[in-house]
Amino acid sequence: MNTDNTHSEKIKERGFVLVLTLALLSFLLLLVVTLASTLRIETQTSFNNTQWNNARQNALLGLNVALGQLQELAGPDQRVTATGGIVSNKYSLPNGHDYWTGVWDASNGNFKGWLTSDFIESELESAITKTVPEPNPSSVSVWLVNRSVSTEDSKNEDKQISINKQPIHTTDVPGFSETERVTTGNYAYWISDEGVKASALKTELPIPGQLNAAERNRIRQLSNRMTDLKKISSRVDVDKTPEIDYLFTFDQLDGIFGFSEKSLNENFHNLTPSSLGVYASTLNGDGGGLKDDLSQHESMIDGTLSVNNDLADYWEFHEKSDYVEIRGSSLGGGEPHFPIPLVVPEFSLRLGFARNSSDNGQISIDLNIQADLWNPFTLPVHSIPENSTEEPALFFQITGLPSFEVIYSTDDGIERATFTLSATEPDSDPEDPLSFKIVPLREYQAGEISHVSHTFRFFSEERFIDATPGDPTDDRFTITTSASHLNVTLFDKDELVLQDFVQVPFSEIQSAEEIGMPRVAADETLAVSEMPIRFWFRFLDEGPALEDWSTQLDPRGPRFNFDSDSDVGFLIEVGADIYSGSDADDFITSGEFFSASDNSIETNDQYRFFDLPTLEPISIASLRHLAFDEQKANFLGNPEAENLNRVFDEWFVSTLPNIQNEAEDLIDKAVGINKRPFLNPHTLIPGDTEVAELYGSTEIAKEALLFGAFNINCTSPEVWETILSGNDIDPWVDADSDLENPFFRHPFTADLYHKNPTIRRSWYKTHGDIDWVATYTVGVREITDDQLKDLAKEIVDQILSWESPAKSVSEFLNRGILANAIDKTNINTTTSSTYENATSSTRIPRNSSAFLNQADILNTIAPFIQARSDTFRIRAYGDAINPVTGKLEGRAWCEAWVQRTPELIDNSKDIRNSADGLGRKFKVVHFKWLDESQI
Amino acid sequence: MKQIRIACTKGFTVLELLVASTVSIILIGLFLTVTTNILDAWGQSRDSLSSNAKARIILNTLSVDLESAIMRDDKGVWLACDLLTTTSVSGKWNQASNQKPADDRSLEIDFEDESLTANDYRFGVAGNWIRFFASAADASVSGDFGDVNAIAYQLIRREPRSTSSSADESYNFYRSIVRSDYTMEEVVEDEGFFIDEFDGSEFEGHPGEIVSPRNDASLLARDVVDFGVILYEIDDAGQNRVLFPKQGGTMEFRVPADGIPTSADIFVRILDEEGAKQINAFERGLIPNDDPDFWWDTVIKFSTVYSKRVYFKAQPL
Repeated sequence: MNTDNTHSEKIKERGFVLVLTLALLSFLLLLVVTLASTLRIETQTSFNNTQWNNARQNALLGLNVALGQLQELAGPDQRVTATGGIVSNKYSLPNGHDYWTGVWDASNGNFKGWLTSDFIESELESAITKTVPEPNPSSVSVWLVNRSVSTEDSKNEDKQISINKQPIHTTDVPGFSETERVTTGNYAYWISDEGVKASALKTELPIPGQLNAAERNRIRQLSNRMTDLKKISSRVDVDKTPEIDYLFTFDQLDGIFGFSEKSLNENFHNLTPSSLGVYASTLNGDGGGLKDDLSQHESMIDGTLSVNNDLADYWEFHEKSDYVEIRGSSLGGGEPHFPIPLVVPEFSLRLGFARNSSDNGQISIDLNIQADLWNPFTLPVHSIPENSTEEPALFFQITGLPSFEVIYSTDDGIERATFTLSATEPDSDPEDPLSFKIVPLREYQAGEISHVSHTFRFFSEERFIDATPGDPTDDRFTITTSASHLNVTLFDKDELVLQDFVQVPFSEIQSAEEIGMPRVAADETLAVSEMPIRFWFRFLDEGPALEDWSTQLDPRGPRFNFDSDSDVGFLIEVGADIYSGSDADDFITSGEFFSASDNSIETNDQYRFFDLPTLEPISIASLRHLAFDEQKANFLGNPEAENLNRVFDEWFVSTLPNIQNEAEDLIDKAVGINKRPFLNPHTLIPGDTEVAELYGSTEIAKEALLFGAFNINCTSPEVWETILSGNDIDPWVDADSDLENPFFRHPFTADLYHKNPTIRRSWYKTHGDIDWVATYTVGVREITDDQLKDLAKEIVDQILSWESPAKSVSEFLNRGILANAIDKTNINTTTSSTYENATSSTRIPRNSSAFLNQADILNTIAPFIQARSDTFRIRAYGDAINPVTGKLEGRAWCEAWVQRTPELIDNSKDIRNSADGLGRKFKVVHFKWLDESQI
Repeated sequence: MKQIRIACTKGFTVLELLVASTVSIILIGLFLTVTTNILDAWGQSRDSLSSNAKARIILNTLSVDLESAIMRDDKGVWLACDLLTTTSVSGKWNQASNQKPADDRSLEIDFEDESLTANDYRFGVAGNWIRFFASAADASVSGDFGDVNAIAYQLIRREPRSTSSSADESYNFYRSIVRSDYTMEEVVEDEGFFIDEFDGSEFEGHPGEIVSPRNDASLLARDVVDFGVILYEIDDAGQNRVLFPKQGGTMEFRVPADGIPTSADIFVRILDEEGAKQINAFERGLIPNDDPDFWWDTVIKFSTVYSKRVYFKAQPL
């Protein structure tokens, strides 16, 4: 035992060093392991960070590639954009591809490319039909819109966007040969077209300038000043929407506008914080480049329309609209015209022969001119200057009267005489023997019709001796005239033409039997009923005929040429006869329309056809109230205008005040970051622009942007519905006159006679048959929410039916998209039938002021529409791949809001000219990183 | 028994003991040396890794925020950057007699002097105070008003946590983020974005944090002794030109009134642990030294400067 113990102790003694050594080694090892672990953790952290950074750099690469593609394809002026939905009638589109953005060449209609990373080099429109596999982390595709459109109820798969990844190859990767291309990551991007969406930021702003309360209210009639977000989400309380213009991101719509998350996600593709546009034309040739500012018309050169004095006078008219004088028009001076005539819708010239009761052998020839004079404007017009005491006067000039062969007979015998009228009447113009002075009213109320009748006496130069002067009953005559073409012109005292009826064709007159010739005293004239010979013409105004001329003539004329315009002869009835009726005025006083029987302004029979600008116009749509030589009324903006509609592409209206101090004052007072200081709320002046630099026809287009720009190639009914609404006015003029979904035919004046539409609007749309009077007296149309929804749907159907985007605003108008869509709704009928299917008795007369036409809609949207988009949203993705294992090591998403600006990429060229090459510069105006939950 | 006796007589000779002792001493010494070296290396690595980690957090966070910065060309103030030559801005700076000098020794911004390197730059006693609007990466604090936040970065000498004692005072780097609803409410009241006019309560997400950040939640990193931002614009020749700060220029910069930067270099100087201990001890008076340059000499010795170039992705129209 002792031996064992001793041995054991010896062993212990010897093991001490070993244990000590092992302990120290263990400690050392532990230390090394701990350090290594720490280093490994740190290395891994660093590696992860590196991969995260690589993924982010790859996402930025994707963003830059996207910017490059956008610049190349959409930078030039002659490019238009639309979403994939525009070709949905042509192709079967996979989920989400409706929201791809395509670019077309406006000069030839060729497709240029889809703005996604899938098809950078492809110019194949049908590439959009290619399906993309459902993304997952290891998939070849990736979500770029996923949870952004999902709700609790639905993933909304048709709104999700997945895009195939594009590999990023790198050479000189450690572990690989120097030249081997190794995949180190991927990128993908999708570019969203924000211009086809409704701009949420378009909220009501205080109306600037020195306007009174009525004018401030009226300015809302000139265009849709805000977006009705309630059409998108019932949770939006528009009344409480702050007066802001500083939204930057889609997510901000949530709190500021009160959108529910569900509504926001469902409308991801319908809403944008703000779409801005460049005032540039997509037209080819002279119409391209930056648009001309009609507010600066003094410095404009002519385009599709000549910038003549009439147009300038029209544009400045609001400064003198308190007292409106009639004004003639210089014919043939090019377009447009701005006459303020009294219209002659009905005219008669009567002739009678009488023997002087003094029996001096002379036969008197009595001539009577009767006419209705109609003020077709929405303001009172005056026939004399303001404060003038002179007697008002207008002059009818009649030329081309035939000679009259009169066979005069008495019991004593027969004499034959040929009369040629020559004026001896004292009031006639001595320089112009057939110019007859008439005396109009001093003031014609808006829409008022008055009747004038004046008789003039002439005497035969020959004397006819009556052998039996005591028997007046034996004086008889027969008359024969040849066929003739009369020219009847109404002049003002300055000899400017108010109305001109050219080559009015009158057939020959031949009395079938002898007509008794009355005897009158030398100082008397015949009564009109005693004048049997009648030449007359009138605008047809019964039922459908009224509709015809209100669509095919402009009653303002000033020229109605029966020789060259077939419509004139078709719509203006002409007659020449021996009239034996007792009521000399019956054709003038009959008929339902141009009756001068009631001139009371308290009635509704005030037919106001043409608006006069009581405020500074804020859009090209206001040009529709001008007259165009030998063109129809309600012309510009409607499909019939064809080439003239190019003005919507060439011109815009900034409402920049002509006085620099006023402009500076307005800009100084403007609040917020998106300054919209002028009357046109869509003119945005970014930054601290020097006001002096804005003056000039295209100068402001170099600086300003179009706020709330809307691309008319939009294919979303919801967006169209929102765009067309937002102009509810409550109260309008008084507490009982609120307006819902109004469209104004007379935007400058409808409030001045607001009682008519308020009363009448229920008439024309609920009565079984049309109330003609009502349809021609209103200045505004309201439509119901259901009608608006139908209209939006039909507009989109019309757009889709073309299977390609409109290349310009004028092309969109000339396609008649809005006009055709209106006809496919019941807006212009009194029943539930669409206009196309309704009977004529239930149709609102076409182009009557109650008839909603394309130009009426244009009044609402013209200030902010364009055929392309200039605001885009890029979502880019990047990932990092371990080149050895192929494993996904990091992912990143980013989002950039990109804005096209007037600035050219090639700054050696003139910014005003049409931008070709890479076009106008895109700028990133907002950027953020996203995580996967935000996609 | 005999065998036992013999065994008992066999002990260690003096020589054996000497040899054994010598070998043990050599072994222990060897282990001690190795261990010490390893611990030193580990300490240095730990310091370095710690500094790297801090720098990574700061530079990544700041670059993500700056990349998302929102700027507009109007009368507002979208980004403000002050080079602080005093310590009074936050009202939270705990003064110490030996603290970072508030004089020219803490100011070296002559970026045109090519002899200077990033390690030589000094951005004032309290560094740069930068604040701006951005779509924050950590939008979860943004409330229901979307993702635009006012954000500020500031350097303050104070105790790092509300529960810390004054002995723990250090140079702390704060990132304050104002909740988006408060951000927007402030904007609406002022009819514009004015990042330099923010004030208010100092609780979570409130605008007051722009000026005076809370402890704990807003603390991004400790031992950051200097923080600088150099803002650049691109000149007509396409070259970067310094907008701020400029030698002899104003110590304040406002976007857009003073220019609109396109990129920024951000610098942070981070003390390692040893340096932090030494500075802490020096500032508490535990290391008596009258040399006015001692503070910076120590910092230069025990700190690393990290920098990163950041591009403002978005530009005003």
